Amino acid sequence: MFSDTTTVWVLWPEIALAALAVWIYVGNALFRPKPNTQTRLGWTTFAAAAVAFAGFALYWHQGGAVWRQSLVLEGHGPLAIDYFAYAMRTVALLAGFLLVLQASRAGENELVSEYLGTLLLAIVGVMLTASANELIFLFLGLEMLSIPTYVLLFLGRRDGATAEATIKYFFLSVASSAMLLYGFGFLYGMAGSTSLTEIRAALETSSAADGGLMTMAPLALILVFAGLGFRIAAAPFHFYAPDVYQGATHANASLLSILPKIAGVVVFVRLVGVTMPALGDFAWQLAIVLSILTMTIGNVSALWQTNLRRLMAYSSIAHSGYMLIGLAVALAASPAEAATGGLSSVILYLFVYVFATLGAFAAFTYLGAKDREVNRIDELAGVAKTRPVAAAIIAVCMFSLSGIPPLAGFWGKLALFGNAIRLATNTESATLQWWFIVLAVVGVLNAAVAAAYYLRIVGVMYFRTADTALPSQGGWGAWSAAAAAAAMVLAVGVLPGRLFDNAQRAELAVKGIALPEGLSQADAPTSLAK
Amino acid sequence: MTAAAYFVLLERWIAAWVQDRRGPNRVGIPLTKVRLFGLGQPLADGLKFIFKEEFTPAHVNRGLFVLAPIAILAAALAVFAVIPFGSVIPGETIRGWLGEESDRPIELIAAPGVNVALLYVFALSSIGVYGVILGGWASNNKYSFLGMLRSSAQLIAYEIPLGLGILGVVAATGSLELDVIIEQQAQTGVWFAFAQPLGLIVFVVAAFAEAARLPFDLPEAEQELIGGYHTEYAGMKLLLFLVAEFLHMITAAFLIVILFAGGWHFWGLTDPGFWGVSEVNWPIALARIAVLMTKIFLVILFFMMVRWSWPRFRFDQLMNLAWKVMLPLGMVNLVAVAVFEELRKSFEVSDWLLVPMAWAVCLAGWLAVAYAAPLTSDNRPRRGLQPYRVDTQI
Amino acid sequence: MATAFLPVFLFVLAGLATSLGMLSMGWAFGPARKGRVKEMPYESGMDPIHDARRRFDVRFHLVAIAFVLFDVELLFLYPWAVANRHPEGIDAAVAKAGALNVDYSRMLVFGEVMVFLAILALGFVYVWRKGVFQWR
Repeated sequence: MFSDTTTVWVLWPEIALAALAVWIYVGNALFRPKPNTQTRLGWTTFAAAAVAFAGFALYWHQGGAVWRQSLVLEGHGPLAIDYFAYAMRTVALLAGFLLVLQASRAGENELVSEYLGTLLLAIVGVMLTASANELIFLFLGLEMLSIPTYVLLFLGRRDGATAEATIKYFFLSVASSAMLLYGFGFLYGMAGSTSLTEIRAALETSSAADGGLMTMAPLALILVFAGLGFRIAAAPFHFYAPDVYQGATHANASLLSILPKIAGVVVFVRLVGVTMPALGDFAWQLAIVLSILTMTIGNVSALWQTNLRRLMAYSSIAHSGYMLIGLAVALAASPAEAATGGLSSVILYLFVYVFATLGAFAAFTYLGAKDREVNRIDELAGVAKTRPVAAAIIAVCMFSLSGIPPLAGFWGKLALFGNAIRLATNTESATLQWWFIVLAVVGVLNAAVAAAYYLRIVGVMYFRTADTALPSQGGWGAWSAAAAAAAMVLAVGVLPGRLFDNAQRAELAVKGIALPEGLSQADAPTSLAK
Repeated sequence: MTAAAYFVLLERWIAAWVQDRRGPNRVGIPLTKVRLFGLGQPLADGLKFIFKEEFTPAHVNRGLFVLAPIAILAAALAVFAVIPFGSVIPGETIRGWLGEESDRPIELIAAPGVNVALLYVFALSSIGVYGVILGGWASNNKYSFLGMLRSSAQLIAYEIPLGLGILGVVAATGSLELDVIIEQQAQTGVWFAFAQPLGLIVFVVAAFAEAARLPFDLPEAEQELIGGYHTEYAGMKLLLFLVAEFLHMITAAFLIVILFAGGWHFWGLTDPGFWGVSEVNWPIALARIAVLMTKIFLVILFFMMVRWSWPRFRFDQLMNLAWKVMLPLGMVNLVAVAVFEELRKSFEVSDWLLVPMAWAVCLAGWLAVAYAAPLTSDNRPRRGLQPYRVDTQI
Repeated sequence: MATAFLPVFLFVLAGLATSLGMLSMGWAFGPARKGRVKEMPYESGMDPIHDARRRFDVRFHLVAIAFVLFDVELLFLYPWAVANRHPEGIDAAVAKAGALNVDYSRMLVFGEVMVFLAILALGFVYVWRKGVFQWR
């Protein structure tokens, strides 16, 4: 126990990234370079290099060992060393790299090191959440994400709207953390352990026996849904999102729509989808109701928004609703051990959503300037003439978000709705059939509604003439981040097979199922399992 | 309490001696002409306080206003529960009177066996800050308010070096019990004043500040702040504040002696083996008490001499000293102690050998801090400073 | 354990009783006169203009936050400091856990504390260079 340093070795990309983030803070404070554009450029490069380094560390050091890892290893305490964790850490690092690039001109020169360092720490938080297999570690990861987020929100811009948005987000986030923690408390009380593996075992055995402590399980589920619903902006806890997004900068809004979403979905998958499937009908019914509510509220409210970030906020809410479909499928499928495709479609959709949203926001950042951001949709008029590449990027991302066939978003929606319908057709239970058919129909209707406002943005860009030209001073960093994200969206749209493959592998891994022979070069747990 | 009253007298004598004048020397036994060097003065002072008006102004928060002096004095008194005032006395005699069987030696400590004694002392001395804040806030007076802000900032700023100083000793003894700490110093014969000179410096300075003694008496600073946080207090409530301050000084003296100066230990004199006995007998017990009391008296004399030897700090110097000098020195001391403990465990290095190393660390730390924060003692006005950049947007 | 703390509680009670007793003595024997001017806040003879509780300098908040940060870090160090040399401390725990190389395991603990202190020192440097301690 005392000389076991496996944890340190597994987590060392995170540790390295956190150390480099601390160096960004301290180094800038120590040498106090002039707060000008060169310094900003230097620190942005440093931060991007740090994220890239962490990515290589993750790939080289663990890729070989973890790539083929399919089982949650026992005896490693708080850590889940499986393909799902590895994949989610990779997604966090990729998104983080683009976020760093995008922020190359956001905020003030004086505070650049604070902004970048805090951003890196938020990425570390997401990565820690992804590799947590224990309640306390999970909560630490989530806090490691949310506390830097408060700081980042405040650092974005200096005005009343930002301050208001930050304070709103802060208080609601604290309240949601408290609810989540309360749910964790119930889980711990039922299982007598903070390890997710043991909680799952305890829930399964005691559900086989009589009621007893299990009566508390729905309560725990509701509290966990409340806490995580805030993170991913799902229905009854979505109300903060429009105001906060509107008050934040584009860079911060993209961060807010990506990092907490990744973390929230990761915890949903690992804690709700894998640990608590033994809860019976209640769980999937809750997920379905929330999913329908979230989708509908998000899409319908987005229809009459004129503010760009408000619209994106409602769009982010709606996409959370789609992801809850996959969760409902995973919760309803029985037996729980089988791979049903529910979780893999969530993972797939998360990936698709993250890059489409990031591309759109990065392009908006590029089109604006530090003191003049693109606020209203009308301001985008005529961008296709003045900035054709940026307009094309935005168009690609919007098409992907609305799910137009050749792009990534289509495959995401296809996986989600397809799995819901497959579950409905395969099951014997009439209730399940009815519910999931309704869910799929509502989902498709919502996608149709969503297309209206996404296409409106494209229409404004291409079919209206500009009154005044946009400044387009967001910097090459934002431009390249947008281009990279759009390229990713295109690539996944053209060649979705590899992503489907990896998502399915992640689902199997997170459920602790050995990979079937044909899927990939799956091996037994290797060197790290010693 | 009585000791506090007589320490006031002592302080006034010393003040008079330093300033080359006569101190209180008249009040003796009442109704006679016997002067007795003014030993009756504290009694007269106390009586006068009793017959002062117990006045509470109309503009204050009455509850908090009364609570503040009570909190500060009760905390200052309760600290003494865990402070030993000697080592042990032979058990059999007293147990014999009480008719008990055991002849275990009795520890001279009100609450023996409290294993978080130092934390308790630390916690209760922090309550002093509450007294200050409550008093200043409840008074609803601008002088009190300013005094409260300044003195609470001072007290909390110096609590960190205080904790660092204690932490070094705790790391070297592995106990939070004061008698165990003394015992260890007596066994090795190396007082922590020698083994951790840096810790001693940090702790003594912080203790001065916590007791709000000159040169750290910013909380009162009667020349600048009218009266600090107790401007609106009079009569018995003021007395509670003043007594609490003297008690803080006595506590600080006890802690300095116990943590760093070996407590009741004096080489040979307090050692049973030196006198050829195996157990602690009455003469040795009394000698130990005498040694402890002498040391404490000397430390208090030092406190009082310092009061009349140094001018008061300016507030920015005060803060600089706390954060830029004492805190890093305390951390250096802690790291040094940790390293020495590892050396001791791994290589069996003797205690005496570590002393010169500790002094080298002390010197190095001192020089480094002098290099890093050179302006702390600079009294010249600063012209190059920019005014605050006010953020008008928010 | 319960009995060990009994004298402590008695001392706290005694302290409270002493303070209250002294206060009530003053209240019982002292005179009580009131007056309009006497009840005003003391401002060296000026009439007070407004309430004394107003907004004050943000530096006091900074000091308070810095204090909370560093004090909490110090409190984290107390358990280590006690366990470092306590007879049932780190060495005993290492031996009990059955670690193969006791010296190595102990050095691991030592290393962790040093990393903790290094992070604390980095934070200190950051705060210093950012001018939190600059009182002007």
